[in-house]
Amino acid sequence: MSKKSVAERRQAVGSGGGRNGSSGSRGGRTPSRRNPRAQQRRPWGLYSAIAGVVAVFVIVVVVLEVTAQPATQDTQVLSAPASVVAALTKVPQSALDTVGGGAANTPPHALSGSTKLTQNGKPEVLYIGAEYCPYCALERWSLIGALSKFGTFSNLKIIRSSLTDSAGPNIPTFTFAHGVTYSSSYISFVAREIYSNVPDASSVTGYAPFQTLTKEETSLFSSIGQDGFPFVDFGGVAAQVGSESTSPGPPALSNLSWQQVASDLSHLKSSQAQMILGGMNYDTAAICKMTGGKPGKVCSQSVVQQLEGNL
Amino acid sequence: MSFWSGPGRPGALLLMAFSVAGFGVAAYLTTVHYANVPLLCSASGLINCSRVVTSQFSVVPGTNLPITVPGMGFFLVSFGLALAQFRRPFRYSLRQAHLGWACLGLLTVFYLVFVELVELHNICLWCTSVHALIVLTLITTAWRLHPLDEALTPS
Repeated sequence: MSKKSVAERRQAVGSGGGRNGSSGSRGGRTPSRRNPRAQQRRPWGLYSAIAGVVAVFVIVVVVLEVTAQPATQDTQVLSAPASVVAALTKVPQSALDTVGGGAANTPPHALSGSTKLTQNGKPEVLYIGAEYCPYCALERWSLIGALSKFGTFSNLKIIRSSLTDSAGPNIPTFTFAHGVTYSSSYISFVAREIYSNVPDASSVTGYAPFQTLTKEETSLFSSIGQDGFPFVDFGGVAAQVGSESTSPGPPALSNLSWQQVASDLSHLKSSQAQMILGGMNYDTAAICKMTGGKPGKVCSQSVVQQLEGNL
Repeated sequence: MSFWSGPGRPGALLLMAFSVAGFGVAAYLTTVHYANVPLLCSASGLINCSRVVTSQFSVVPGTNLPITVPGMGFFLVSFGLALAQFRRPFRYSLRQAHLGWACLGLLTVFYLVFVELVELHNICLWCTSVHALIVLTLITTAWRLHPLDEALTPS
């Protein structure tokens, strides 16, 4: 369009004539002398078509939502992604120093007069939990990070906690069952997942019973753990009963992916980092307390020594 | 009649404003993606931006390109079309092209809203603001097709 033609048209508009007076109509799209009412017409057909498409979309979404099957418990047991394991087991010491105790407001407490737990001549960490349990789901992140400073996990698996637990549904976590092994020259690690995350209406918890406890473990679970999980006995010198973090607690991890939680560990102000790394530091301190400060490169860290003094 | 309020120009300016705002939000989400920093938004409950923008649907299918990059492109083109209309307010074909572009945006909004509500069951407020800007662009471009609007003519 030339500048001249624009000027002409502007002039035409200014005089109220429009283009039709000078160059003729090009069909119904433009005002017409023969049909002046056309000038008043907006493209209602177009508007209706757009509104109709939007309405169809809304109806489709509503119908899909209404007819959707309720979400079901995720019972898959999958190999833990290497990136997630690396993010959890190789947290920089500077990050752990920065977080300190973090949001771990109910950390392990020292035990006095309790029988020392050992296995194969090494101090034993005993974990008792359940795969459906949201607090256990949170605790495993911290415990794996701490235990990895003293040894190596193999074949780690990921699962999700209960989809319906009001304490925090659908939390991405790990399991200590299903072939997971741990080796260390300093400590032994014994883990029992006494319920799975497979729904079972006949079970008292609503989830199928899974691994069983020995008599000694049952006794410790009842006397020190008060039959609540997660329960972690650090060689009989310290114990963790329930979640190490109650605020914000497991809901902060609800519906997240493992990768998201792993990524959050590098954001030290995030709730996830504050709870998991804070718990990791406390668990490390408790293990150092039972190993007598071995290995030195782990137990001599100032944050560990400070928290060990708090136990 | 001033330069800014000439025929068709307020509408074009409005479309430019939508484009700038949309581009800004898309650029912010893209920055968050690459800088790996927390998003300023709720991270739990129904409104969970983090969950949405880190989901498998947050990238162009088959690639690692965040979907916010084509989003930036959408608003860049939209701005260009609005600027062209500002300079040539009587060119009807520009308005038609902008409407077509906005319709394409609407289809994308449909897909993303479907993903949020049906697949993820989470809503991202940043994404919703982008969706709203696309819908507003569509409404504005459709409204500007009025035959009497500055005596538009096909060209």
